[in-house]
Amino acid sequence: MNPKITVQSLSKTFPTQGGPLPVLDDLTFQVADGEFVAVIGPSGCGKSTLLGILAGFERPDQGEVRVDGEPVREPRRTGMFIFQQPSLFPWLDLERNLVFGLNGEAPEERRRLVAHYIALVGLQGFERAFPRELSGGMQQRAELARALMVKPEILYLDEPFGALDALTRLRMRAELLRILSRERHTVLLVTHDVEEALHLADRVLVLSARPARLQRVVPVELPRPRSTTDPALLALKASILRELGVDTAETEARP
Amino acid sequence: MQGLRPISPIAWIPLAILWFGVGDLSPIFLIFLSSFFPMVVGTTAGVLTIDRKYLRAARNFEYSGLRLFRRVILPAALPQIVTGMRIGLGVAWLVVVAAEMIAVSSGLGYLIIDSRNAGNRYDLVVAGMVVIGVVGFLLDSLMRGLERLDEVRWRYEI
Repeated sequence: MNPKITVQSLSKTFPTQGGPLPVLDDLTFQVADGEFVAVIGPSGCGKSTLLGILAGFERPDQGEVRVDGEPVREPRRTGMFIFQQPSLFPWLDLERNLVFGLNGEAPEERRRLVAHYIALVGLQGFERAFPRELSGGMQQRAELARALMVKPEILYLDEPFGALDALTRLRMRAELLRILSRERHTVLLVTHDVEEALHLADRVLVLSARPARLQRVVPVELPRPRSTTDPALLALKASILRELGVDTAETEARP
Repeated sequence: MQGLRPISPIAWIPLAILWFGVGDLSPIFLIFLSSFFPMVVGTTAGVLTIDRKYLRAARNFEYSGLRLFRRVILPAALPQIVTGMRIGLGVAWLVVVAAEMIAVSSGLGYLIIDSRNAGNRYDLVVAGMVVIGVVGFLLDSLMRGLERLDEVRWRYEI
């Protein structure tokens, strides 16, 4: 089967006052159709830059990204990007935010889509609410619904739950898995949370410190639904943390 | 253009009379001059301070050109455009009165000056002042009403 996303010798350097700063160094990997791939690495290693390039928001200096064999040049509706900060339009209520991305659908089809996705993310009754009236977790769910409205093939998630509190974060993970079990998408998730990556992904790409190289690829062949207390998962987590040069005992002590 | 901004609209009155004579055109020119800059400043600030994340989201949905302007840039800048309009209208009202005192022979400003010159009728002067205050207040209330619309209010409640 042909890969959905092909990343070929990707490099990127940022010019800074202190001279050129290489952030990505010769990254090559592929993502299969319907696969959930998590990218983790030390903070500031260029994970977000990588995701921005994959989604077409930024251009690489060298190498290229292809989706279905087509080079990526601009952001497309077929690949929706979800950022840590919700970007719902504050001047539109929830329903108008959801239909923002639609393009000439008939009114009854619009209504059907809105009802479907509002129910899917559990925001029934908030159709007329403005983003400011929703909690952080609700905003992020609404953001996901707005992205799903245009039937994207790929979701690019850049630490999507990073700004939420720990409890909401766990709930959002379960929510994401539930949604993906109903509507399969190819997903690329950038996170600094190893446990989150192992909980969600089919495969974890571990990047090195800047400039980011592909340090290790970890297939996560654990049965679903996964438990974060599964010894096999914990063993994988410890080995990835060792890879990142983090002492596990120290990490466990973190809230 | 920016160099003209610090010049008080009142200081333009002699030139306005020279160019447009004593008639309605002079006050119209002065009002335009006084309200134009606050609105330009408000609009510019509104567009420049649009949060990049909204433009990024719109780009992801493949919005561009006129559609991007109508659906994202204009609504995002609208609160500050309205603020600029509110300031512009306030300044315009001040200038109307000043222009009427000098450039035309009708209106509230003229009433005040004429009442004083033609026999120190301070009752009429004060009555004119009260009307100016009330009209100014009503104009500002109108603009504050605009600021309460959902399309504008979001900016103050994020």
